[in-house]
Amino acid sequence: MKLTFAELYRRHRDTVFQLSLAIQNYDGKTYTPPPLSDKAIAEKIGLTAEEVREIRCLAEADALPASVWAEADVFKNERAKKFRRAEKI
Amino acid sequence: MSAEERIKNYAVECGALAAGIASVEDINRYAPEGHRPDDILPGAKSVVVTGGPPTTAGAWRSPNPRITTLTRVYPMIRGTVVMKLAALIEREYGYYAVFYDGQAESGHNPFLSLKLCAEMAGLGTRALAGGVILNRDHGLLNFSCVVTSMPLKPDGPMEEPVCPHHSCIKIWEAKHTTPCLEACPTCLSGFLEGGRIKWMQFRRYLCEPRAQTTSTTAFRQKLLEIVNETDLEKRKQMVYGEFFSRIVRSLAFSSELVGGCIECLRHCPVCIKATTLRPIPRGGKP
Repeated sequence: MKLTFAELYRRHRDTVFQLSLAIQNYDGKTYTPPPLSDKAIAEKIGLTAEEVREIRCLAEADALPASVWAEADVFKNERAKKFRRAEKI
Repeated sequence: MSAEERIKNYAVECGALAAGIASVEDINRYAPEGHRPDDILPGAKSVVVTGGPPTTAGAWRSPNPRITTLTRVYPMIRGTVVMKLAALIEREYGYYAVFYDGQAESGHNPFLSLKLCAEMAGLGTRALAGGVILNRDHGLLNFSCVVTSMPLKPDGPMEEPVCPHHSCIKIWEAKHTTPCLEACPTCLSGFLEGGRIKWMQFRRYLCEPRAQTTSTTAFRQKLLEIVNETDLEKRKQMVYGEFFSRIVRSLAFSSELVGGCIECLRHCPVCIKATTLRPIPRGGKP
């Protein structure tokens, strides 16, 4: 039975996300394990590259709660204030 | 003057700080199928990579992080620089050329990794700070490139890494941290051993809210939140409020879309050296 996209997404979201460029591990010489392209992920988990692309793009946007954007603003402003004090600008 | 020198000098004349050449063969050793130079231009032999400053040294020191994002220097011209380089290669040397300045292929994935191309062109090496390419003289650079069928002598990757700087090695030995790791433990983890990077993890998805605070993902998430809001007064406040207005303005004017955070590199000794100016003495009374 063919799964709906919502079912595919629920089932594969975490795997696709982990295998993509979302988290990158570098060993001083190269990326290990290498982040995979949509095509390589598709071959690994038995989906089409188009299905993986759609899952990845949705997962990238869906990874964090909506509050993080305004919180990022607060983080940067606080860091900049500390920098201003340290540098005596 | 060789063709390689002429092309790299022209890149600098057009506004780049540095330029290098990578062979497609070197890039293909690391880039996955579908994201290689010959996926952009069949028969590609070389990639000419240009690098320029993300912002001015002054904006780098601004206490307002939004100023640093709003006054991006090389990202504003890097497309033009490589457009002119591509024209030079096609008109003066008769080889096919495609320019690329980092546009996304889908989601956050690029057509081609500019960082990888820059690394293979000898413009710098990977940093503990998220794997960005650090240049020994210019610190953090933004990149753009020309993929061409012209066979050019490649510069090849640098042999000695720029990161970690010797002062970071001393900090690591004393405190088991570095300025970049200390600045952003959310996005970065890493470990030094024997004066080299032993391992580094960059959590790109956590970097995005900081680097692209008012960009497309922020817009889509806030839009969904607004659409789902059933309280009409609250929905109006969300649409007309300062933050969503800034996101809309950012998209409308391409003003604060990317490059919105330099916190991991603000205290990087390589970047500090590259962005510290000393007034040049001038004759006469001030």
